[in-house]
Amino acid sequence: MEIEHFRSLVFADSELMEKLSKASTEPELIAMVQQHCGDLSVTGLQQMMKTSRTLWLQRWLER
Amino acid sequence: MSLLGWIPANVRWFQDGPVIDWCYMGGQHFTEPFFEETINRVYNRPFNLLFRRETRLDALRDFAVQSPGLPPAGFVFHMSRCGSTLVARMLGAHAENLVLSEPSPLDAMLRIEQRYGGVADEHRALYFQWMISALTQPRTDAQQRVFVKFDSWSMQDLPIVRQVFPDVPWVFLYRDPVEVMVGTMKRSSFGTIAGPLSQRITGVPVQQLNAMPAAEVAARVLGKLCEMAATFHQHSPALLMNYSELPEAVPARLGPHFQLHWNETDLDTMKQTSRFNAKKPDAQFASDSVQKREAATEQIRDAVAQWITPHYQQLEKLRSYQMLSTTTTS
Repeated sequence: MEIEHFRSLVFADSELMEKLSKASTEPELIAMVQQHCGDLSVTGLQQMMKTSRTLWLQRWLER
Repeated sequence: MSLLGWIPANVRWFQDGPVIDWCYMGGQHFTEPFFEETINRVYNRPFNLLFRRETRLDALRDFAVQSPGLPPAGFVFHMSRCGSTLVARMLGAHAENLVLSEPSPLDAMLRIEQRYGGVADEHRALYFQWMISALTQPRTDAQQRVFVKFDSWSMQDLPIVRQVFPDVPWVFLYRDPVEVMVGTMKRSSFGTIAGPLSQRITGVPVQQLNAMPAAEVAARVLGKLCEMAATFHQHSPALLMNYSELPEAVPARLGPHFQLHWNETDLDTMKQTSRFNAKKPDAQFASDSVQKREAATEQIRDAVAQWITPHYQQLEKLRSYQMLSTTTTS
């Protein structure tokens, strides 16, 4: 499954969203995501979070 | 898909319209002195890093219909560096109050015409209303009302705010202008340096502002904010509050103005909050008025006298009428 598809599933499921949002560390969240969707790679998920962090910082600085 | 639990975190501008970045709040609360600080903390939580969400403006409109948010109970405007963060912290000390301190997505909607020329005021008012609605979703079961502390430069947008919320009371906070100027020159804000924002406030082209000493630009901006407050006050009365009255004036004058009823426990909680530095809540509050006045250079004093003092004096005059009428009616 693609992450975009998984994202849509999560956004449509408030209980799952709430559960995942409680993860306080990245490894914890990745483990939870993999429980639901084992074919998403750890490296891919890690990379995605790294990119998000950089994007946020950029947007922060652009304002 | 529902946006319940999400909050607008940031607005980005594209040729075909703005994009809103959302952040999942879940059980997180606004505990930091400023909206941005809370958003920065929450946005960097693992879930938000992995599940980025962005929408166009129409999602705001739909969300406003689906879940209108808490009713605003009071708006805080200010000239900056004048105790407004303390007031916000004191209001936020009550569990029933949600306080949003200078939320940038709201500022983005108010100034949307700077990005896209020709945005009519009626559209600006709508976007503002939708954004308020998204920002004011309750974060706890106890929250019943919301207070918004605007950025200082939003004083200019009061007519739009009043158009959308004509019955919501507002307060304008200000302080001895020499003290404000010393604070401003030490640490400038976007609004008080030469740029599009100061141009928007003062009406002076950026090129001219660029050629002026920094103190003059800041003084012109601060003076204009005070002038606007005094002018708007004539049509739509505000509570005028001087920094010198804080923190006692929050329960004594602001509470009744915002129709808040506090019990002894609430008052005690607020009092405790006021003992700490509003912007650095880990540190005790220590008045810096004397140091600021002593640190004022001649250039600062001249700029204050020319650009701010007349408007400050006008505010003080209006405030004294207000105090007098409260005394005579109570």
